[in-house]
Amino acid sequence: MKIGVCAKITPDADARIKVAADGQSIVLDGVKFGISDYDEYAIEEAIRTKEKHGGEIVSFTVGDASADKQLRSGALALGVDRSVLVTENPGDPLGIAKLLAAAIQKEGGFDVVFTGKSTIDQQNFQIGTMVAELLGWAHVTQVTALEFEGNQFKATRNMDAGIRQVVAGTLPAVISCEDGLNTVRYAKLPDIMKAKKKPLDSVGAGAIGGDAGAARSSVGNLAPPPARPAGRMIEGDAATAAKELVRLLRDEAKVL
Amino acid sequence: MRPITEPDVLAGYLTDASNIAGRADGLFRPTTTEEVAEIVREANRTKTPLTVTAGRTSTTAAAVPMGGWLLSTERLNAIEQIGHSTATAQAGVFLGDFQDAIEATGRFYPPDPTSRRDCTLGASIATNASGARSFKYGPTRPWVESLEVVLANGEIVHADRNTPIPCHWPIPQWAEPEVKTAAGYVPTKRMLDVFIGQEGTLGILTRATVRLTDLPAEVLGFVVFFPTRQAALAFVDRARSAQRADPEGALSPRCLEYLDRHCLDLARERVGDVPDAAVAALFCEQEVSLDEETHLAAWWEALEACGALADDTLITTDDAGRENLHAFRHAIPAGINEQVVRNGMPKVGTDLSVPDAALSTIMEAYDHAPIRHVLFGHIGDNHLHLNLLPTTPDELARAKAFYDELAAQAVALGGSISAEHGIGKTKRDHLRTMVGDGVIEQFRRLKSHLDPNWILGRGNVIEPPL
Ligand SMILES: Cc1cc2nc3c(=O)[nH]c(=O)nc-3n(C[C@H](O)[C@H](O)[C@H](O)COP(=O)(O)OP(=O)(O)OC[C@H]3O[C@@H](n4cnc5c(N)ncnc54)[C@H](O)[C@@H]3O)c2cc1C
Repeated sequence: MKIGVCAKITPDADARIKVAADGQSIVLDGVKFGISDYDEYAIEEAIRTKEKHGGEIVSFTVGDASADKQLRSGALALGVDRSVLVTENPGDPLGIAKLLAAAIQKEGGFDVVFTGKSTIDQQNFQIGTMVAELLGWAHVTQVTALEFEGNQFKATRNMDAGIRQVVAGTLPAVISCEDGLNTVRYAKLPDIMKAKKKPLDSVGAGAIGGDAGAARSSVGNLAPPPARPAGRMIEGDAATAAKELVRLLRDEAKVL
Repeated sequence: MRPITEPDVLAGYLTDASNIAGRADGLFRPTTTEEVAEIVREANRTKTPLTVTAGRTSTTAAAVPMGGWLLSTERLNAIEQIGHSTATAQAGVFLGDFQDAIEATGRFYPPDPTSRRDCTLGASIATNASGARSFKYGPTRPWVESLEVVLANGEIVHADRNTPIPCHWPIPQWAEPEVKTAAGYVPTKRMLDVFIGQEGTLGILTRATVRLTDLPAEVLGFVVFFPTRQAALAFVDRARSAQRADPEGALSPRCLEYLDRHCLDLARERVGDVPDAAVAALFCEQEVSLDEETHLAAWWEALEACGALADDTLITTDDAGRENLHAFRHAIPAGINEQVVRNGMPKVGTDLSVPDAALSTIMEAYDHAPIRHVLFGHIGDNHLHLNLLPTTPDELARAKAFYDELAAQAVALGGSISAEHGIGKTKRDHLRTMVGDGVIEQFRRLKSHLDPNWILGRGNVIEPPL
């Protein structure tokens, strides 16, 4: 099988995010970056698919030139065969999807492309769907189990209220991966060393015949959540304080 | 100031990670050094024992009061200054919070007890705590720049690296073992040192200034597996020599943490990725001082030469991955705790360190543990924690007796009976085994001189007078 996977470099899940002075971006100083968590499931699923069905894995990233470090350790060292890094910075999700679709088309011949269900920074939930639409392929979102047989696939997705839906379809398809689909493996030392020698093509939009086009949406502003109000101390001896606490829980917090 | 005496409130302060229960008649939660001094004066005047309680993660009952008053440092928690070479905070700040604030400025305070999220800066100094990174950076002691201390008479003193000891203080004269150690009062010429590792018995730390260094830009994390223990020890030897020869070299781990085969079984159950042939593993970190490839090549060569299962080595090259690798390591304490809960019996955990040459001898002694056990820890410092997991009162008694034997053997090998957890109330006998009656007597003289009424940390380090 020829397997594609889309992976974005995002601030680490544990990073302390601060809104920048412009009110539209975040402070990047001191922030560590890694492959977005859901994209890690996509990479793992690509590797498992190759282990089962054979073939080749190519990853696609739209992002900064510095992404090569994370791609080597988080994609190539785990089992991705080649990486394509499109060094552009489109203004909206549609622009990113157009570049990814163009790069996938330029490379050609894919049976399946994996994406995360969303990225942990923007949480747009749009890329997988848009890429599938632009390519004219089948698409399943939030997949938690997956099987291939011939040119058919069967994907399980979790719906609300714990209901599971099984979707069947014909390849090629875009599969957006959800937590629970697999457990991400650790990289091994020899693979990290080999990853240094695997091909990583850094290209501009022109080289893949892509065009992000004018952004159709833009970020208005970012605002941090309101600061948590200070805790309130209840004075008095234990009996009085306990009574007051119960009153507050009932009358103010309305949790009793 | 009046102490809090409500039993419900006090109940939250009567034990620590030793699970030994104490008793107290009152609790103070001061916010300033002056308030601390006032409380201490009152305790001294009324000869009321006063135990400092902080994060209560002590494993030796050091924070457990045996009557008298408790002084909690929880409200002495302001971070006051973070500069380029030093940072200052009140003693009760959580160590992890202090380190986060320092690292946000690109600076680094290395001491990293595993409990750093739950333990305080003051207590980590009062116990001279250490951690995995102590292999490269040493314990807390060398990182302390100055201290503000309230003495047992209520006097507030300041000690920095140049403050000499008042000539009438009877500082004990004895030879500490030449290993990682946090046992007993140090033979020193600096006043600062007297208050590091004294377990709340000689003074109350209210404020500390610590030294900072460069925050390493990148750190590689490894879990290396070995088909035999000998192979693991061969690698420890080689990595340690290389690190000592050049602390910034291509092979210069900042930590070397051992996991025995019982640990690997726990990891197999919980996280996977453990090769079948592995009977031992090392969790290591390497700061990137040269380029990454040079480090990787040096590690690869050393691992192959020592007979490691080099192909199976897990590695992370970024922070996010390192967190994942920590999950691997943390599966072990989690597994042990689960076992302890299931057994319904406390575990018996050792904290012995020995000289390099005695490492394999003490490890062979650990093999003779009479009951189920797990061995892991800071092998770079020849400091492993043997955790004995009794299931019956009889096994508990055998585990304790075995621990006593091991402590005596570690002393005979030139080691320390406590490398990092301190003496508290549970290891006074082991301390006596290590230093002998004469030195205990010297400790007693220093204690009596600085605290004639024996109010501070009563019962820690040495037995109180009747
Ligand atoms: C899960 C776990 C992991 C641990 N890992 C490590 C480790 O890796 N390395 C290590 O060294 N230890 C470790 N410990 C032991 C413990 O965390 C340390 O000894 C720590 O320094 C205690 O800090 P604390 O704030 O909890 O102090 P407490 O337990 O409250 O007190 C410890 C002692 O310090 C005294 N003290 C506290 N504050 C002051 C003060 N301001 N002035 C004077 N005396 C004071 C107390 O009276 C007591 O004697 C671990 C413990 C646990 C439970």
